[in-house]
Amino acid sequence: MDKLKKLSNWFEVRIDLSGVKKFSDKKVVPVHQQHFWYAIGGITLFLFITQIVTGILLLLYYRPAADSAYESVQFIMTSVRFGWLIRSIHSWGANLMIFFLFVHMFSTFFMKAYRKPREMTWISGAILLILALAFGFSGYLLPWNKLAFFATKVGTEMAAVVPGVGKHILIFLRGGEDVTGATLTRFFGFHVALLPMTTFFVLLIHLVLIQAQGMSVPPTLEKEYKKNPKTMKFFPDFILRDAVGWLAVLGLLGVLAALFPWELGEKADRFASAPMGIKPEWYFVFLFQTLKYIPGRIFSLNGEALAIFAIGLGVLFWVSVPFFDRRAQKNLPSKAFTLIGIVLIIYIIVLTTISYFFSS
Amino acid sequence: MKKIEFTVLVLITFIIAAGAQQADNNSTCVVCHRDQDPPLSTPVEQLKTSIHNNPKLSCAGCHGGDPTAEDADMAMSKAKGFIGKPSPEQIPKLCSKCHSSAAFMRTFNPNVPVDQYQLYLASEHGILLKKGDKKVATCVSCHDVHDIKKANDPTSPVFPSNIADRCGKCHADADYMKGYSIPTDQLSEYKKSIHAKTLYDKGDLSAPTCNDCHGNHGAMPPGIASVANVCGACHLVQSEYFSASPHKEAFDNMGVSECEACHGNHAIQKTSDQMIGTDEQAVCTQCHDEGSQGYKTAALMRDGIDSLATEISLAEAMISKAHLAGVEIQDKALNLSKSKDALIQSRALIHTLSMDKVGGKIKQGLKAAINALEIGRQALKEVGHRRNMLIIMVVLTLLVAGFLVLYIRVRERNND
Amino acid sequence: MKETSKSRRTFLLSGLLSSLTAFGAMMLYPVWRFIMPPKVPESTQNSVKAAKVNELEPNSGKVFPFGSKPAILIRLGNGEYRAFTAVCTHLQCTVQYRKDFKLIWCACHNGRFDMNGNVVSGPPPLPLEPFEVAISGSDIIVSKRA
Repeated sequence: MDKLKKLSNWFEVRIDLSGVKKFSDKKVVPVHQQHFWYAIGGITLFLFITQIVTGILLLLYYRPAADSAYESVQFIMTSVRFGWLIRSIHSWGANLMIFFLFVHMFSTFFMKAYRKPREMTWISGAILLILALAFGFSGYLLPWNKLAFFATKVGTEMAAVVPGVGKHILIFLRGGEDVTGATLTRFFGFHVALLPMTTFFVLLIHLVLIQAQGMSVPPTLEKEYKKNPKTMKFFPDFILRDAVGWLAVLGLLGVLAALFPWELGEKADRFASAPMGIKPEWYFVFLFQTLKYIPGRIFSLNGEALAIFAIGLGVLFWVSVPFFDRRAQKNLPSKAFTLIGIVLIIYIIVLTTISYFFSS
Repeated sequence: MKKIEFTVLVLITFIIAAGAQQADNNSTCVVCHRDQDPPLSTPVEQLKTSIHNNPKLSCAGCHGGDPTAEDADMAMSKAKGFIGKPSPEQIPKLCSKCHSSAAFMRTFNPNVPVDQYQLYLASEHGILLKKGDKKVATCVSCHDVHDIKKANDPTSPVFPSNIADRCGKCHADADYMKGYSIPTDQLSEYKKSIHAKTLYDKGDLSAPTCNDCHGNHGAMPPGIASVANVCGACHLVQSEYFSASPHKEAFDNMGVSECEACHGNHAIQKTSDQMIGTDEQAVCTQCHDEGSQGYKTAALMRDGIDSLATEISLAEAMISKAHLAGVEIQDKALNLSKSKDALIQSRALIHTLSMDKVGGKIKQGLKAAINALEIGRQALKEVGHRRNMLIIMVVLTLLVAGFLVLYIRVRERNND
Repeated sequence: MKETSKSRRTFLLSGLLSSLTAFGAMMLYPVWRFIMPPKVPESTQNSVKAAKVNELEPNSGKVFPFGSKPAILIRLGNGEYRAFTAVCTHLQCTVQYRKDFKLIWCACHNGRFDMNGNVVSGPPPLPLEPFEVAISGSDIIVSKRA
């Protein structure tokens, strides 16, 4: 303990850490029936860090070119020691991260954490979700296997229905008219440079905002909380509890990676016919299924374009929910928005279930 | 000087222009015929794309007459040897005037064969023609008349992918073939065969068509005792094995045609392991009755082949399972291909009828397959190894988590 | 009471720290093993060490694994090397070099290929795919043609 003190003294003499110390001493997390949900954001962050670490490790062997990408992933899986583990953790971790992102998002949504003054936290979070989805979409193609190849083909195809600039977006995404090695190189660039850099800054804003504003107490519990403000110190009490969650997630990742190693599939062949039942990653499936139900023409307009436009509007609405939910802003119960959230969750679950179990 | 140069130039121009027009200008046949209505003008048209469109050759070469005479009657006078349309029995002789002359043919291509006429005379077609049968095929039946093309020209009727239909023109025509005692289903049978599939569907021009077995100019059905030689032209190993086997003598004595007895002829199909053995699809039981030595051997061979094939597919399944689990298998390729080679070789060795030979090969294959299987098994053990590591990891994680939870509790109890 | 709780706390803390150390080591071990490159440092099987320079006599051949398929390295009478896929184009048997023929020969159906991979006789419908051969130090490296 003395040595620890010595070390901290050594630092304190050189840098003024009193501000940080004061902050960490003072920072508390509200304790109430729902404070369990506060841990989800931390778990998501922990998974993101896991992704960075495993991602950097994979970069040691991965090759982003059409003639060697598949082979290099195969090499990682078979020849590099523990390569199967690192790659499986990266793939499973990505999926878990997006899952926890959704959980985190809906928990803050239902707890109305987006109320004033936390609008920017919500918006930055929504941007982080979109970035995570872009991570998923771009990373899916990198092993250059058949399924990913066709999923990317279908996925990028959707950009083309945007009126006017659609074709340009498509060509920008694919690096040409078609999904080729050029697309792979591009997606690799997005996945390891553009997206991490953007995410870093948005994440920084998101975290700084959370630290500056503290946790939000849901309006339903606020009165009671104000009467009897029970709190927990952020450091170390809250962090230690968070750490239990991280350990659990890490254990889960290990179990998934060892018992269900992520398959590599067959190498992509540009000229092969599309395999049966190609599906995007599960978090896109409900959108994919929605588009299946849209008729080709709605009032003489392109149905798919209209649907994608509507989805775009929906996303925009979701991002700017803090500004629409006036009642929550005034700390009044806003059942309508809770209902919207519930309907959205049910919609996602139902369509995903249909796509996986009841759709040919 | 300049003047001479100019003259030379003009001369050269004339010579080139004349050369281009030679075939036309040299012959009054062309000059007259090209302005006639069909069919009189047709030969001129057809000749344009023919291999015979060559200044060294003229219409008179086949038809006789005088191609330099201005007057039609003079040009086509019998006195000048004009024969008009050659009759079937005249045609082979006419063609052979050039095609049997090595000295002449050499001027076009030193490699071109000159034995077609000899072969034709020995063919069924040639023999019948000599007997006065005018319905049989002559040169022009297969090669066409005026628009004759090289055999390697894809538009030629004797190009590999066109031959069967050309033979079928007569041989598949039941009316035309009336009076001959041979069937007319060869073409339709052939089109069902593995040979036809290879030729037409795969586009492999080396696949056999009519003339590869029957000969072309010397066309004749192969005699029963020489079938193996015909098939052996491509299926070397099987034919060699067969010819050295007891079947060779037995088949020839019984008057059973060699390969055909089991594999069929025109409608020959892809072979399968079901052909050997004693069950319904097996060909052995045509002769070998239950209880005989041949019957027993057939059953043994089938068992051997089946067991090797099963072992190989087991090894393949094991290896692909390990592969999907992400385990590398280094020596799988060689062991698996060794066992597959043995399977293919033992299938060919069936033609020796020697269970020793087939069994020996199968044993070799089984050894390699078992090796491959063992390698796959080892690889799957590696997956088990991973599970063990997983247990350590889960235990450690639980340990850390346990300590953490207890520590949090104690801390907080103290703080309260 | 206070004393026991304090000693308990120290025990728990030291237990936590030591288990955490073990846990950290367990996490780092695979990472360390992953970082150190495996014996075959190339991910793409576009080239492979086929033999040592003195391994093959003139007029002899050797079958070696190239990726998941066999390939054949041949040293001609004049000392020159040639390499091809060893997978026969007929029924995918593994071919071998025949000194007596000076040809590549497939034992399954007597297919024969010349020293350029072209079919000389027998049932193979296509030539054998040729590979590049390079000599690097004491190794003979066979690689796929670009």
